[in-house]
Amino acid sequence: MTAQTNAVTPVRQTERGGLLIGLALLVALTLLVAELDGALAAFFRGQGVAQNLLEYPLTAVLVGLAANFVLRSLKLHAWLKPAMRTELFLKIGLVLLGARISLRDLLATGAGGLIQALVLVTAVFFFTWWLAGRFNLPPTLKAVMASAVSICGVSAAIAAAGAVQARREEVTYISTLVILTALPLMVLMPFLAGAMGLPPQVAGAWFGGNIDTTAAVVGAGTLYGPEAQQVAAVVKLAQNVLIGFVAFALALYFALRVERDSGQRPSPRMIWERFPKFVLGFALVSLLATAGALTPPLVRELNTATQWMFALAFVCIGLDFSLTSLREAGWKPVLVYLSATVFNTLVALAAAWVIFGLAGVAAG
Amino acid sequence: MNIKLNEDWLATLIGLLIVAVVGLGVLGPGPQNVTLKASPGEADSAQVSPGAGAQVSALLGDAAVSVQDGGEGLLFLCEAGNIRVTTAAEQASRLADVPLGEGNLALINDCGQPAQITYKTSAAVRWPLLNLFNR
Repeated sequence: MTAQTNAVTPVRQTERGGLLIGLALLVALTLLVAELDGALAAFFRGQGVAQNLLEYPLTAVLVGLAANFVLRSLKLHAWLKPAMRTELFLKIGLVLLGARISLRDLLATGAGGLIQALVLVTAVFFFTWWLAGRFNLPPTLKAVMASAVSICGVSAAIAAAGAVQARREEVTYISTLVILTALPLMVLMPFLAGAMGLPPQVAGAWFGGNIDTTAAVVGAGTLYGPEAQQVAAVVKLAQNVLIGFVAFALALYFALRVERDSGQRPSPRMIWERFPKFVLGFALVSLLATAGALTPPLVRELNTATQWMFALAFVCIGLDFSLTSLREAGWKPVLVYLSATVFNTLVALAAAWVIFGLAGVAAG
Repeated sequence: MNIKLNEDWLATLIGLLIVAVVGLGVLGPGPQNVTLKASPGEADSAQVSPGAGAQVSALLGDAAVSVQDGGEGLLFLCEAGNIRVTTAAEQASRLADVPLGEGNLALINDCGQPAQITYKTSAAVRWPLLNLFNR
């Protein structure tokens, strides 16, 4: 054994110790999130509100932020960093999310959701892309942000980040924005829909087309009523289906266009290297669901497993949050994200009104 | 040997592993489909792994009947043309003379026709820890 190996081993052991203790801490924090989530749900039920208005992603980020502060104060943050695998947890969650994406169910629930998803995703993606370009945001951040706003928030951001090889900070940044905007929208949109007197189908399609996190979509639908909730979930589901297609298209675009501009020669190998492989796992699980291999109880169980993975990831986002990197990114991405959200809100309302109101296409 | 797996493949592998563990019931009892048949005045039993979300269907003679409080208990009693869940205390006080056998799933037939119940659970592992977010 060489002296060099002797020097490296204690470092590896320290890293491994940090990883194991960090993972144990993450699980403990996620259990705390689950407990808080249950207590909050009970509190809201006591107030006559069926839905927990503070969703678990937000609770998880806040718990992570509190732990972040404590760990940095104790100078333990860097040691436990190897366990903070935000992307890994989100990617596992995305593979499991495939269980909820059954094309057969989607087709059976009506064409309305699919039509709206295609219209919205296309319009919002390209608007965000264009606007981010006007503000000179980097191409990787543009891709992550456009995917997050147009498809389904954090999940789409992760898929896009894999395809364009975005920086970790960019994903954390966009994830934070997604969570921070989803919560007020979940409460505000049912209120606005009520004020405008929207029929439940139109309101549900509006919520599903605009709010970025699936949990908040269901939350807003629940606040408006069961019919709105069902339509909102179907529309969101239709958008989720597009994750894989957008990830592939982005991988192709970056390999053929962006990298070519930077002097690299595009090749099938480069496209394959860029392609987020976990999307294949997502597609495989989705195919199993479409083929009817996953029974409803199984889908329910896998859904809770997905929530666990996402909760772990959101705790990591809080733990990993750094005000410095947010300051470095500046105010431009926030402005672009908020403008894109407003655009999404308006286009989603118009699309929902035309497709589910005027044309009377059924969602379910 | 130091095998290093790309994060995408690692996520795919772990995700599919979770689907297999939960879906195939690798850690749990797996899918169960047990039928008990009892003639009038008799009982039948079998050993099952109790699982939340179990579905119980019943036949009285040749006719399908609904099971009252089905899915929550494992002791079933056919009485006055109905099949319902009974308690161990009730069984001890009223039906002690009916031999139940060793199984924890039991059907006691106090009706005038042959009775049958079918107890089914899916393969999905119901892991209470996972369900913390669904309370």
